[in-house]
This record gives sequence, C-alpha cells and structure tokens, in this order.
Amino acid sequence: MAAAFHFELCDLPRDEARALRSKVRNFLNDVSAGWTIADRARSWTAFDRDFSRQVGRHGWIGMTWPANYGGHERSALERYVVLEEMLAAGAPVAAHWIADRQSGPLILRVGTDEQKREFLPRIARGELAFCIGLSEPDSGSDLASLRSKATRISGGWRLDGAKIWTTNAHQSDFMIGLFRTAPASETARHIGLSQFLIDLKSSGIEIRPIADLTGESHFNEVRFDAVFVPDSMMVGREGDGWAQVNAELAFERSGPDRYLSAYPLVPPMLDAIGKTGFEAQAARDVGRLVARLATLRAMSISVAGMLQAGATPLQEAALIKDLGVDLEQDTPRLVEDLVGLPPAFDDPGGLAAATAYVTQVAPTFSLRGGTREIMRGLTARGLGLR
Amino acid sequence: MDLAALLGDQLERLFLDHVDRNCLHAAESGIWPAALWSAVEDFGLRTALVPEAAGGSGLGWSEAGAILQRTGRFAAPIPLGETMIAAALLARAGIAIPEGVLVFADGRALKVDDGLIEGRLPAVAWAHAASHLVVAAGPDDDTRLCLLDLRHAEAHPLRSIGRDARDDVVLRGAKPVATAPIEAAAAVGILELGALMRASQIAGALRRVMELAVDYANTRQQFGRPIGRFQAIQQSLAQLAAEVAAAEVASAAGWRARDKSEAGLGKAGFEAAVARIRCSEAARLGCAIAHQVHGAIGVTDEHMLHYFTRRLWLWRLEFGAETWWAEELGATVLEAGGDKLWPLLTRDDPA
Ligand SMILES: Cc1cc2nc3c(=O)[nH]c(=O)nc-3n(C[C@H](O)[C@H](O)[C@H](O)COP(=O)(O)OP(=O)(O)OC[C@H]3O[C@@H](n4cnc5c(N)ncnc54)[C@H](O)[C@@H]3O)c2cc1C
Repeated sequence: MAAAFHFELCDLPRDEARALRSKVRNFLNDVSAGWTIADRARSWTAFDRDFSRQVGRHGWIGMTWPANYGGHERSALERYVVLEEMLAAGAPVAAHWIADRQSGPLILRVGTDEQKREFLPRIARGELAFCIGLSEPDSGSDLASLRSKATRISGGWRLDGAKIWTTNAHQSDFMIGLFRTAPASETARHIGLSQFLIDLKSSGIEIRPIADLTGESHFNEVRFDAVFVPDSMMVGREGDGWAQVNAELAFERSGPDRYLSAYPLVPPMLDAIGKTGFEAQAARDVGRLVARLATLRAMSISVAGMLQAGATPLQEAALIKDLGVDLEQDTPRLVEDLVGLPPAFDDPGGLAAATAYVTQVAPTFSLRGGTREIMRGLTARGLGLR
Repeated sequence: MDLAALLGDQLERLFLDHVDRNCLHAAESGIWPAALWSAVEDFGLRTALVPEAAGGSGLGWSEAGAILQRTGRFAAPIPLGETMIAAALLARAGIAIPEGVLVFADGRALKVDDGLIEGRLPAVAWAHAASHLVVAAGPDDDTRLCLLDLRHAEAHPLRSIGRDARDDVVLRGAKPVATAPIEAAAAVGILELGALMRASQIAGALRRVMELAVDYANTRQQFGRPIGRFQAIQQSLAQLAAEVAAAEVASAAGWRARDKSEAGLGKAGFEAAVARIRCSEAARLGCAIAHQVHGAIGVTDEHMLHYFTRRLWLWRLEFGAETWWAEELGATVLEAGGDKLWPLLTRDDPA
C-alpha cells in the first residue's frame, strides 16, 4: 500500500519565532485588558475592523506575500506563530481572517497583476474583509452540483443565483464566488466552474443575514440578480475554479483554527478547578486534553512546513481537521464536568456563558470547511479504499 | 544515505525475512529467537546510541525513535530498544558496556544500603533473556546509575497479554558491577525513555494494524463487493488513520524534545508524557477499530492481527500506564495555573 499520509516534524525557526512571539504577546496583552472569557471564546467569529487595522499596522496580515503587494516576505512558519498566538488569546480576528488565510493567497497564486496590486495591499493593511461564496441552497457537500451561473456579456459577466451560509457576507467588502461558466458534462461535473471577485456593493446583490441558534447572525444568504462583474474580476482561468478551490481548502483545513476554536475555555477552566485539592480524575482528564492539544499542534506545524515547501498536503490536512474538531467539540463538555458549571448564570462574560456559547457553536466545527464525513471520505480515498 | 536510514533499511529487510507468524509463535512459547538477535547484533545496533567516541554509532534519540518504530511495525520479539537505551545510558555515565542483552528499569523505589541494592522491580521487560540490568537508584543527594549482573538477581516470570517475557526482578543486597553518579532528576529520565520507547513501538505497530485492516477491507467480500466499499467501513478506517498519524507525530515529537533537552533546551518530560498518553490513547482506539473491521477472523489464533493488538494493549501499560502519565501531566498543568499552559505548549521556542 502506498503511504497514504506522512507527517515530517517541523521546527519553527527558533530565533525569529521567539522574537515575533513575544511581540505578538505584548501587543495582545495591551489590547486584551477588557476582553471577557466569553469575548475570547468568540475569537474568529468576532468581527472588529479596528482590531484588524491594528494587526495590519504591525505587519501581521499578508505576512508571506511579496513586499511590492504590501506583504512582509516572512515565512509560513513565522505566520503560524502569529496565528496561534491570536487564537490562543481569543483575539477578534474575523475581519481579516478569511482574506489572510484564503482570499489573499488565492489572488496571489492565480490572480492578475492588476488584482494583486488592487487588493493585496489593502488586505494586508487590515482594510478589506472577504467572504467565501461556495455553498448554495441545493449544493452543500456536493459542491460540484452548484447552479449559480455566470453568463458572458459585453465587457464581463452577469451573475445569477444564490449562495448560502456565507460567513460575514453582511460585513464584508468582497466575495470570491464560484459560479458555473459552462454546463457540466455527464462524466465530468467539475468542469466549467470559475471564480469571481465580487464587490458586495454591486447592484443586484441582496444579502440577508441568517440568525443561528445562538441568536446571533454570522452567516448569510446572498442573492445575485443580474449582477455585473467586469472581465478583470475573474480569478484565475475560466473553467479552473474547481482545482483552485481545492488548493485553497488545504490552507483552510490545517491551520491552528482547526483545533484551537475552543481553547479560550481551557485556561479559565484550569483556574476554576484550582491549583490544589483537585481530584485525580480531573488531573487525568486535563492530562489527556493537553496531550491531544500538544499533538495537534505538532501535526499542524508539520503541515505548515509542507505548505512552506510548496506541497499541497490535502490528506494530512483532512486528518488534522478530523482530530481537531473532535477535541474542540469535547472541550465544552469537559469544562462542564470538571468545573461543575451551573445550568443558568448571571455573568454574561464568565466561564459559564463562554461555555454555553461554545456548546452552541460546536456542532458547526465538523460542518464548516467540509463535513466530518467528507473529510473521512477523503482519507479513505488516500488509503486506497475507493 | 545516512547511517540511521541505512540501519533502518537493513533492519526492515531482516525483519521482513525473519519475523513472521512462526517466529512470533515460537517466541511466545518461550523460545529465544537467537538467530534474529545475533543478526541484529551483527548490524551493530546494540550500540547505535552510544557516542562514536565510545565505540558506538552515535545516533541521536530521534533516530532511535525511527528504529524503535520498526521494531513495533514487526512486533519483533527481541529487546532491541531496551538494549540500545541501556547501552546509551551506560556510555553517557562512562560505564563499560557488557556483552549481550541489556534491559533497564525505573529504580527509584529501590533501597541502597552501603552500596548494596535491595528491592523489587515489577514486570521488567525481557529480564530473564538479559545478562545485565541498568537502573538509577539511591537518595536524591547520591543518585547513581547502576549496572547489575542479573545472575545475582531473582527473576520471577509473569504472564501478560503481550506474551513476550516479563519478570518481577527481586534484588537482595545486590552489589552493582559498576556505578556512576547521575543527577537525581535524570533518574526520572529513565522512566521517560522507557515511555518513549513504547510510544514509538505503538506508532509502528499501529500503522501495521491499519495496513492489515485496509488490506482486509479491500479483499473480504460481502454483499457482492469488498467491505471496504461500504462507507461505514471507510469512515472507521479513516478514524484509525487519524490515530496512526497522531501516534507517529506524538512519539516523534517526544524524541525530538529529548534531543533538544540534551542540547540544553530544557527538560523533555512534558513531551514524553504527551507522547505516552497520546500513543496509548491511539492504541486503544485503533485496536478496537481494526478488530471490528476484521470480523471474526481477526480474533483467531491463525491471524496475524493479534500479535500486534495484544502488544499494543500491553505497551500502553508499561513504563507508567496511560492513566498514571495523564494524572502526572494534568497535575503539573493544574498546579502551574491557566496562564502557564500556553507558554508550556509553545515552549519549543521558549521566550
Ligand atoms: C458556521 C458555518 C459557516 C459556514 N461558512 C461558509 C462560508 O463562508 N462559505 C460557504 O460557501 N459555505 C459555508 N458553510 C457551509 C459549509 O461548507 C456546508 O455546511 C458544508 O459544506 C456541508 O453542506 P450542507 O450544510 O449543505 O450539508 P449536506 O451536504 O447536506 O450534508 C448533510 C449531512 O450529510 C452528510 N453527507 C453529505 N454527503 C455525504 C456523502 N457523500 N457521504 C456521507 N455523508 C454525506 C454530511 O456529512 C452531513 O452530515 C458554513 C457552514 C457553517 C455551519
């Protein structure tokens, strides 16, 4: 059997990482004075343009991009240090996270020079927020079945259709959307898909926030009714959308955001258990949790090393996502068990409120970015089972 | 090709030729695989971890981890890891390395009186196949690495699900062949080395178990097709793959920390505990899946699977059981307090 997956350990560059880490920690220490535990638990769903601009000023967005596009020419591993520090602290990163992780790298890889000059510097300054338009009402896991279409017209394309579950569309400036530019054939459904950079202020776009079970609205339905996008806003080559999206997903699935979503609950949980007098069972559960965290971190850094080396570790990324979301989903239950949280609470910023929030969003951890079943299917393919 | 890779490949070929069901069956009935052991000795693997200046191959701990993973991959019924690590400990303390099979144990519970050692070491792996035993013993202000001749000790054979030799070793005023002073802190390091050894063996055996299960799923037909075509089986095997990946990374990271701690970058205890706990958890979850996929044939004596799963179940418990390490690590983390956890997790580049 061919080796289905392979993780080579990767060391963060020691001196650079150390200097950078302490800068990021100092910055976060200064700005986090007023953050409650519940604020921290929101982290990459918390949209704060001011915060993102500050991060941009420090040079921590677009870190790996070329300087002539506003980037900072640092390595993927240095970028990793910044990402994990932000998430561990529960910083409100939503206003730049998607552009830094996915949209910017996509534009850099396949965009035109004009697109790079127009978008990348503004993303790197923390001024432009992006959203990802893939899912549609009738196309979830089976993404290639999507029906929103782009029709060629004079000077560009006309978009019609609907996207759904689009995170932050209601607060973003641009969407990178996947549309059908040619009919699918019976045998190859993945052809004829193309990506577009869509200004969300264009006429014909209607954005309707969808409330989720927390009562808040993070995702949206986005309708397109004869929306015009100029030729210059196609991303990559016509018909290459499927391959481009898949390369993008390796970035989405393996980062520290795939195992640290519930981390902000952990330090306050330890403090609530206490430094002395804890039960042996509590210590064991904490030990197991820490072992899983440390291992996922080593796996995730290993993938960052592969990405830095130019590889596309889809298999490895799927494995991390599977283990990572399990850990994230187990965390709120562990807090309840070990701390003995009350069923109702009056401190909206405290550990009980934060745990209640994570309990409610935890089901999404194994949906977004490809469901658990789809990830495992990908792994099974790598193992030679399909 | 570098030396570690060369040794690894040689060992792999040797195991492919020698370690089959017959070899394992014979070893489990108490027959020492003499030919296999002498071939391993001929490669110079006994002293692979001994510095070149002291006549060894000078491999680092991480390289040792890769070799140990191979012993797990084949469930090789010989104490290669035990001998390599015992020899490395002796060489680092400046004690001459005796011939033959060596084993080591956590000796912190032993009593030392006037240079004579007293006490019981429970379930020492391979003790009655070995000529010598290495332990660290003595009070904190005078901890010594001791080399003991096992002819002067009692070895009481035990039974375990792994069925490789395990003995309670009883020392009654045993006089070490040689001793050398070591730091008291290094005594716990011996336990960590054993834990890491088992972690690597678990990673190797678990990958093999996954391969057996995938092969079986692709061949066994039910309902007119290979069972591996069923999504339920695919999803289970994907979970097994994730456990294999976690075990491989956790064990490798444990050895890497050991290499770094020798280079003066702090103690490796945290990563050893992580490796130990995570690999043991992987063994537990992984064995269950592999057996489920194999159906009834997988629990027959005839099938190879149990030679791996029985050892995986045993290895989880040795050199400190999974639960013991989890409690140790958890207590350390709790005592330090919430704001110390993140710095601990990221300390491979300590600020
Ligand atoms: C919080 C959140 C944010 C999101 N943000 C975005 C975003 O910004 N942009 C965007 O485009 N999308 C976004 N999504 C959508 C997400 O990508 C989809 O939810 C996901 O792809 C699954 O699609 P679905 O919800 O339609 O479920 P379905 O595909 O209908 O799946 C339902 C269930 O069936 C299972 N299933 C489906 N097909 C198979 C199969 N072949 N084998 C086995 N099981 C199967 C699934 O695993 C799942 O358990 C977001 C989702 C969430 C929850």
